[in-house]
Amino acid sequence: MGEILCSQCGKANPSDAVLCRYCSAPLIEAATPSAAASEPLIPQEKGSEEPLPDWLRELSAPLPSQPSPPSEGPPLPDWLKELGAVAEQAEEERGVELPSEPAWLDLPEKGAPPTVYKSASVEEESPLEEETTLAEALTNADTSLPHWMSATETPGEQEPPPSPPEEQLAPPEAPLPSPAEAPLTALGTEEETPLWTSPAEETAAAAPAEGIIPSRLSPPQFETPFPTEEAIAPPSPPAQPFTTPPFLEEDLSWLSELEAALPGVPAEEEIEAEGGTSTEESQLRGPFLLDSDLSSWLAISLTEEETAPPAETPEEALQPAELPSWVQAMRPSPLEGGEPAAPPGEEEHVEGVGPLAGIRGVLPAEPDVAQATKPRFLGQRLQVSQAQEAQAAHLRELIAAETQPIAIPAQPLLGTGWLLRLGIAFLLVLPILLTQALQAPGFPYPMPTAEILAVQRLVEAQTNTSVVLLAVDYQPAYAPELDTLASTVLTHLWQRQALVLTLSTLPNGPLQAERLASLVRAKAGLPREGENLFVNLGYLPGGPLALASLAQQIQTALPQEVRGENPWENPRLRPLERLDQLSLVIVAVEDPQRARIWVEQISPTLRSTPMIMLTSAQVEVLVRPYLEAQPSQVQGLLSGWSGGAAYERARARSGPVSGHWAAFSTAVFNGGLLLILGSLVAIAQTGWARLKERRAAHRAGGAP
Amino acid sequence: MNLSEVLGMFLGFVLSLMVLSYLLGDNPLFRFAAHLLVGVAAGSIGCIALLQVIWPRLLKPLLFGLPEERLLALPPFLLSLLLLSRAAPRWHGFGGPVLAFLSGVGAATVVGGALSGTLFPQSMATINLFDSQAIQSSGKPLGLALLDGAIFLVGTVSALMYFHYHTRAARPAWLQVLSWPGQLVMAIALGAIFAGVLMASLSALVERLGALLDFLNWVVFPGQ
Repeated sequence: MGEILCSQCGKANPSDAVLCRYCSAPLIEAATPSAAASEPLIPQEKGSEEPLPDWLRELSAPLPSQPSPPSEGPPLPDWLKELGAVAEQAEEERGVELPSEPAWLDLPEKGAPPTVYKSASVEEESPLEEETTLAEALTNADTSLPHWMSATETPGEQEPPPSPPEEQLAPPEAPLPSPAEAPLTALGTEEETPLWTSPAEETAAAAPAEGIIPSRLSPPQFETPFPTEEAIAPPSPPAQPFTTPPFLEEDLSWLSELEAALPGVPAEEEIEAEGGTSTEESQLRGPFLLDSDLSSWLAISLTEEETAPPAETPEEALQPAELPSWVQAMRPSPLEGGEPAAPPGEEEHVEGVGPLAGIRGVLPAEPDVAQATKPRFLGQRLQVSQAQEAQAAHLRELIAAETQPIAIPAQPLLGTGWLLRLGIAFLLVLPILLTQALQAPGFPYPMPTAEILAVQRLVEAQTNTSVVLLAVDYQPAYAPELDTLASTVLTHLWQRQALVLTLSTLPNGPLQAERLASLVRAKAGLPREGENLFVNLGYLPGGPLALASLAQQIQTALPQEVRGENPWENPRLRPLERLDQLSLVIVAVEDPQRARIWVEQISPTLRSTPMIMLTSAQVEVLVRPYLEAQPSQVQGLLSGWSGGAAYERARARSGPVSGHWAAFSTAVFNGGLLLILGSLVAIAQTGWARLKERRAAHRAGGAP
Repeated sequence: MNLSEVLGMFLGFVLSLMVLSYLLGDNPLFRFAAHLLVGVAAGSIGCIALLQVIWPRLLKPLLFGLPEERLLALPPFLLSLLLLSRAAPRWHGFGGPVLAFLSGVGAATVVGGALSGTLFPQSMATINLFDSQAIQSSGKPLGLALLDGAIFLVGTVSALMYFHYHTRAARPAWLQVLSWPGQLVMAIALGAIFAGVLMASLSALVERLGALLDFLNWVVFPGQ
């Protein structure tokens, strides 16, 4: 056993020592290069027929020798010394005088572990049992390899990439080991050896330092704490097939799934082929990184930035992000194609409109019942009888007939009954015309009854200070009858110089009152010139309510006359406030209901003021009970033209009724005859019909 | 006779002939005369309501009246607006309270008037027919007066019994016997009403025929 001189401290060490026992410097340069090159790093097992892979052979290649610089002070790590030497040499070549080494380089790294160089010669000569080779470490990594590391290594093992040339596997300068590979190297070195130094050194030893890289930048001279991408290149497949333990296969299964799920992710070789960072470029950038006074981590960062693909345009840089699976499930699917069809029998509703368009499984905004689709015919037949069907059909026809317009049949101008109508009209009209045209004497005037005499007496009792209320409460259709009757009484009143107030609960009553006054003025010339004996108070709205208020407040109920003037400024009307202050109340009415309302609402409030009624002949029967009651509610009644004729007879004066009495009495007589004749004809027709029925029944009964 | 009177007589003559043409059946002349009568009546009613009710009793006090008059006219004005809202289906409900007020007050007035003006006085009149003092004061013979009163009483009671209806079974025999005089009384009353209607119609016919003759007489003999 010989001795080896340490290149750092120059002291002698045993030949089997790997590190200097004094300065812990590696003793590699002391080994014989030829012997180191001839001896593999990992000895082949005896009996093994398969050669070692290239990367294992490269790992076992001997490290090149390097000159040992003079050491002053505490020894620096080799990689720092090499780094400083390269920098100085580069500056010297550019003619720049480099400053002295920075202080941090001069300081001894007490805490830094010493670098351990492994060499085949050392391995061969020293029987260190605890030091294992890299291959053994890989094989023994079943228990010590972390999970993430196993996952990273598995694809390389399953699909071994083609072995790159040696120039690409080991760049000559600054082979920065990747952090992922550091543990791998640590497995094959001693425990005190820094994890990041060995692989770099080994790959640097395997890489050629010729051509592009100057010889002074040989790999052993650069030791960077971080591996480069070249250093993490997949290692060459091992000589023996690597058997993955079962639990690793289980864990690595997700990786294969991920690879299958992401087919678009290119492999590293493809990236390089497409213009990515190639090994040569990394080698070219190495000196630049080393020339600048940057820290290694910054150099790594810069290297990564430079190796990044060229800057893209903003549109190209916006790559679509990959959504999580649950977000992709919610993503609206295109309406046309691209989506798998729903499984048969399962109808998924796809929203077609609105903000939820394209989303499956959305509850429809409109229920199915609201869709304007024709209901499906069920084809069931009701269990009905023929009679029910006939009735239903009849009902259907009736309903259909309701919507069809019914044309009114055109009646002939001269129908079937026109002769009868003309005959009756002839019997009525002709005597009237003859009587009036010839002024023939008619039937004698009727005798005045008690109620007529009462009217005559009450009107005769009026004086020039009397105020009489005349209610013109009849429709225009009854004007021929009631105008004549009222004009008779009105003439009598004006002859007595009585002031007559007229009102009406009908809207057209005021016009009737005006017409009545004009008739009297035309026929009798009353009132005379200068006499103000007529005040038309107009329309009294409200029906029964108005009559009730009229009985209490006549001036309030009728504040003005029909011409808009205030009638209550008349000296004869000024003291008048209630109806019982009137001299007489006369109601001319043709409707029994209106006559009853007048009696009910006004009669109880009149007290001593008498009320008489001028009614149509058709109302006399219904008003008479009020007249004949004890005490009577109506003090006088003048009904129809017969009553008017009796009134004029009682006064012994001719009046408006007298001019029509002859014709009227003739018409009434003829009408009575026609009624009797018609009744006889009707009785005869009924008797004849019954006789025919009896004969028919007798024939039917005697036939058998 | 001035022009307006002549024109009135002519129009009356023409319209009367149009109405009398109904003897030949329904015809356009009759319908025209009837429609003209209805239209003129409606127009006159509207004008009278506006000129004699709405303006002088509602709007004029509200616009030109004294403050107290305006205050008094304001409630009727608001109630009238609410009543007008019934014309629009959307605001139909606002007129309900006004109609309820009118119906309630009107019903109370009519019922009170019927009780005090018809039911009680007529009942007392029927009872007083058998009052001997009243009979003696009237000067009628007592027996005749009592017979008159008995007819009134039987006729009134039997007529009321005729309008007794039984829904579950037929009218009892005694009720049918007692209601028979009521039927007779009602038949006589309806006959009297029909006679009165006939007399009223004949009065109108006689008056119209007289007007036609007067117009023809004036046309033929204008100097008379």
